[in-house]
Amino acid sequence: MKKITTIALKEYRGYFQGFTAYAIMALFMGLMSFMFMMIVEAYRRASFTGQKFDLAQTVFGSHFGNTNVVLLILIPALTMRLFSEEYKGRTMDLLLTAPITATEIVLGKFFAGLLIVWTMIALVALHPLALRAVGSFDAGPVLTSLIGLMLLSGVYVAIGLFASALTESIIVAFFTGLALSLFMWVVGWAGMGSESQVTQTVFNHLSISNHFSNFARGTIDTSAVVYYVSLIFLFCFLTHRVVESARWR
Amino acid sequence: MIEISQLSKRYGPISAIQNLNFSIGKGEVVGFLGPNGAGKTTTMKIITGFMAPTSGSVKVAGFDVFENPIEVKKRIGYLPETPPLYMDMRVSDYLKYVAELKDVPKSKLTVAVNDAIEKTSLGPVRNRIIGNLSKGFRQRVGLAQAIVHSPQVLVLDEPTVGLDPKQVIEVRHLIQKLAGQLTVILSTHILPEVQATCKRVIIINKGQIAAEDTLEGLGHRMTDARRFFIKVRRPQGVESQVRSLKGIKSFKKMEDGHSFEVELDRTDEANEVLAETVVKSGAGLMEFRSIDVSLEDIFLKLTTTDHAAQLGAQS
Repeated sequence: MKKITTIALKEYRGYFQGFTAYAIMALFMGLMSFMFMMIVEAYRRASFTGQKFDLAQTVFGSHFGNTNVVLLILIPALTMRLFSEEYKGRTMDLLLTAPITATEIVLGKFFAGLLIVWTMIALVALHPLALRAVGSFDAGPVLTSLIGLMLLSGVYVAIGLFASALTESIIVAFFTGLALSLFMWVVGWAGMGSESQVTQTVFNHLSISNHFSNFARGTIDTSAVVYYVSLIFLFCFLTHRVVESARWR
Repeated sequence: MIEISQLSKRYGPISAIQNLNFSIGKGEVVGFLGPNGAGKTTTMKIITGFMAPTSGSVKVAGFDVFENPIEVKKRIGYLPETPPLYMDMRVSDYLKYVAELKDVPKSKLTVAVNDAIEKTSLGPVRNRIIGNLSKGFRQRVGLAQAIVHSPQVLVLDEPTVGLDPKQVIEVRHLIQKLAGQLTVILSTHILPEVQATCKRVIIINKGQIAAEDTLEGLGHRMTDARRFFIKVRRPQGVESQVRSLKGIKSFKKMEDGHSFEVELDRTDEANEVLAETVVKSGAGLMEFRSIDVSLEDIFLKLTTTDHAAQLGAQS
């Protein structure tokens, strides 16, 4: 456990050494703020027409939906270096000859990635908080969306970590992570054309996007939580296998 | 301290090392010598638990590397060919991180880091970013990283490669300083390095041990002849007299026409007889010295294809 913390903290601090984390966070925050402003503006205009919209659904539903899409692209960029850079800089030798297990290495790096992404999610949580200052709304769906987002980003981090463990090229790691995450996002489409009810249900459950919509509606869906956590576990396990296999090559 | 038996490693169809057997005692400094691609790095990677062998076993301080890798790794300091440095970290932060990874208790972290910095003379650069350091300093940071947890065994893979002559000497001094306290295995293909730092040598060629002995032992083993260098003022006539000596093995005239290289059977009175003969011939002796068989000779003899084939036939 101590070693996991050591590695996680080192990696987390590593993001803030130099420019990377600041640049990514600034761009992320700028982008999200712009989108949030546009959403709120659209909501304001729509409300003049006299129609009644659910604030949580229209504003925060879209806001966190957007956040998810941006994270889907940003997270592979944050995780790509976790292993690839160790391979390239030959520092993997240090980790593999230190008295630590492959599990500790993988978990340490996973938590470092999770921590940096959660830092970013904390940034987008500022938007609803700002709106709270000028108006009132039900905080429930916002909170569940945030929880959903935190779990979902865990899946992206695990996928990105796995992609990074596969190659010493950070570019390849980035695109592999992006493609895998995107695939998990759209895998539900595979069931759409099918006539069989079973096939449709199976693919619906496999898709990480379908699970996310429940969080946005203000409910914590246990099956979604279980599914996300199992995906995180699966990709961490696969990463562990890749790291461990280095000894046998 | 280190016991290796029947160690083999194959990379697919290519066999990197075959049936290595050797052991290294506590406090010994052993040079691991061989041409490029002989299997030095592979062997070292297996000893450090970085890589699993195809067959055979390695024990360090009584622990099997594969049954008890964590215990072994706690006791080994390893400097790979490319030092494992994080270029964007500061020297002291990096060493602290390594010390934490290597189980140094929190209360002793600062002491351990300072100690390693002092031993490797890194004081002036301790707060610099590693990526901005020169190659010699980086190599020293690599060494500091290997000793920061006070290991019992130090495994150094070509520790002086790519350094300038002054830095090479510094690193060698450092190794000599450490040698008293720990068991050291040092791989290299630079021969003077072995002469400068090691007591015992293991020469490895094509994945097999070609020779294993002390430095002097190797010299004796390779040849039963003694070689001398002679320079005279009037070379005429010397040759025939020396050639008629008992036990003469070879006589070579050097290009300048005044010097010779003579090889005699290894006997106690060889020097005496030869010197007397030359002096008596009235050639005007100017220089007379014995030539030791150099490690280069031994190395070349052992690692050239002919001899390897011979060894293969013997074993």
